[in-house]
Amino acid sequence: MALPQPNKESDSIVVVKGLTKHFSVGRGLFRREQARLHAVDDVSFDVARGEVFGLVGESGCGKTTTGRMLVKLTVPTSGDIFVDNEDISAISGQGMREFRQRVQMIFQDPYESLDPRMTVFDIISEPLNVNHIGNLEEREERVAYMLSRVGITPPEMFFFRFPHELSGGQRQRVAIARALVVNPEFIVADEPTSMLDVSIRTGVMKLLAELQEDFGMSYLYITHDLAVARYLCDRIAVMYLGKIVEMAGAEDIIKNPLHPYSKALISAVPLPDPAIRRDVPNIKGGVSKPINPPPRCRFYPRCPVAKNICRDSDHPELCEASPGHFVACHLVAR
Amino acid sequence: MDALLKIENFTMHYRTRAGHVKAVDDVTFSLAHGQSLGLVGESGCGKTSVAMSIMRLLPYNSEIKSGTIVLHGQDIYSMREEEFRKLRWKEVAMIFQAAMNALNPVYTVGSQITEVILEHEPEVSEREARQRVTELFSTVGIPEERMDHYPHEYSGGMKQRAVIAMALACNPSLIIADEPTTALDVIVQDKILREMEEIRRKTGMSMMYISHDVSVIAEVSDIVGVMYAGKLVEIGPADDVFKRPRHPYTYGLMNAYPSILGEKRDLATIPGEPPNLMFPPLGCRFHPRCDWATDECGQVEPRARYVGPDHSVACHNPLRAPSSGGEPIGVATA
Repeated sequence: MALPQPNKESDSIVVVKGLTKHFSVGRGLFRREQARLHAVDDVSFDVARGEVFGLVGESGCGKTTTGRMLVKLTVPTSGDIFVDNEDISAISGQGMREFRQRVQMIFQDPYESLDPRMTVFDIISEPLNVNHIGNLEEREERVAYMLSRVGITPPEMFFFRFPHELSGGQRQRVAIARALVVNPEFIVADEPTSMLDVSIRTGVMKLLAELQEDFGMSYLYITHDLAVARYLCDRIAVMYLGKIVEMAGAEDIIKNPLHPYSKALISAVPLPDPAIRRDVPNIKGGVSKPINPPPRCRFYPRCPVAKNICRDSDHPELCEASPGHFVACHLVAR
Repeated sequence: MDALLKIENFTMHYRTRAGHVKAVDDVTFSLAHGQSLGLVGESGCGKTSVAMSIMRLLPYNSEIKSGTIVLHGQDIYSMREEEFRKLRWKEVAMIFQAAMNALNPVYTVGSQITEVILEHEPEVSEREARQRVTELFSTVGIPEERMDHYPHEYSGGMKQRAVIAMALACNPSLIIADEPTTALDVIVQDKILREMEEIRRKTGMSMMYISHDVSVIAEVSDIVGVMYAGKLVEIGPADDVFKRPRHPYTYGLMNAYPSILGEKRDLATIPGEPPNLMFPPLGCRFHPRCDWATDECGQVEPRARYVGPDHSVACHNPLRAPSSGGEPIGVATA
């Protein structure tokens, strides 16, 4: 396929090529697979060093599955993922340990991602433990430093607290400290702020942005919220039923969406101004599941502007409509 | 004008083993026929407790300390439970949070709504009731043949619609919608909010929306009330509150949200976290987090006072709008 060309391989921390994940539907112990759910289908993108790359879409579009494949929590059906030019499918055993130092994940729900029986110190120092980094004294120092960086101060006061003694915002900060303690180069953040209250959420978002600058990490930021993505991300890819339908600079995609789905998605976001009356989003029907999808454009059944070509041809490839702005639509002039 | 709902100086606590949680404190507001009121605030600020108080569905450990709730000129807490039961659902209905789980999985959706009608209007025959459910289904946009399906056969958006249909079943004069679209994707959220507003316009019923999302509240409310730590800190016409927020918390809340509107701007953070309502701070409950707090704020509880037509705020030093954009003017920290 016409791959969005990464500028130079060495400038990218992550390169994803033709990534695909199919799940079996209806398979049982003695039952053959009934159908296949195309959760992620032929997805390609790259994340530059120091970049925050946003993956945006509605529930079930495959954004979380993509994120999990990048940290090797889910095995792809096909396709390649390179981190630092290294094919991660080949990593196993001792290499895995080293891989987990370089690539970390922050999960959505801080109420479930922290072990309730571990203290804050144990939680954050575990990655150091596992990787035999430093002695106890050095670890203490490192954990204290991380805690103060994520805004939990004074750190020593929190060393021996358990997750249930922390508020939601504090828990997510601990989860972030745990992910950052090994100095990863790349972080997959799966809706890390969606469970938090507004006044807390902004603080965590600012923290993520600040840490990204200070530590020079790259993020894959997964979210359903376009406004959050706009605030945090350099580039945004919009996913629909397992496919990237549009990919561009964050401001570019918000101000000038080209794909009919991105347009509908953006026009459905409520605005904090009672004086504005938004137009009705131009989209038909509801989301389905990509179970044994026909080869044509995934968005065809809901597309308000679909033509015959959309029904009769394969799903359109992602093509560069203007410099750095990629869109997968038969009807967008390129 | 005669108010449909009048809440005056309402204070409600929850008794727990650790002490009293001062969940709702001295809340006063009223709602006219056909109006929509949006209550906005973060989790634990008491907005759902206010709703449950109006529905008389408070748990056993709740204790009403003072105040009245008057619906249609009747004080609901001076009625016997059997009397109020006749009003509940016929006069005031509620769309509960997490509507996904509000339906009984072992009955068809149609039969559950039919049952609501038969229960509250014994004079209606089963046939008539079923006929009415058919009409309700078309009002909320569910195909009629779905009446005999079970909840698990519905999508999230359809379940939400079914729960709205159930609230509409007995033509109440007031519907309380507690986070009606929080679990839904934006495109579905947009559709459902539009439908609810359409229904309000057609039937002339009043709506009380409860949400943590200021944008949702901005779009559907005539009047906006902002709650913080059990207090109604500001209430007024939506346009006025959004254009000229007078309470520092309202201002912070509105600027803490990223938006896709206009130019990308920096987000305001509200320092600290909401207080434990077992031991709320003395004076103004917001003062420990307020940039503009003075000595008085830490000692004297501010009373609500009018700052414009129908616009009241509980703050010693309400913000003033600056003449030319930028930060509002408040009393600087001494």
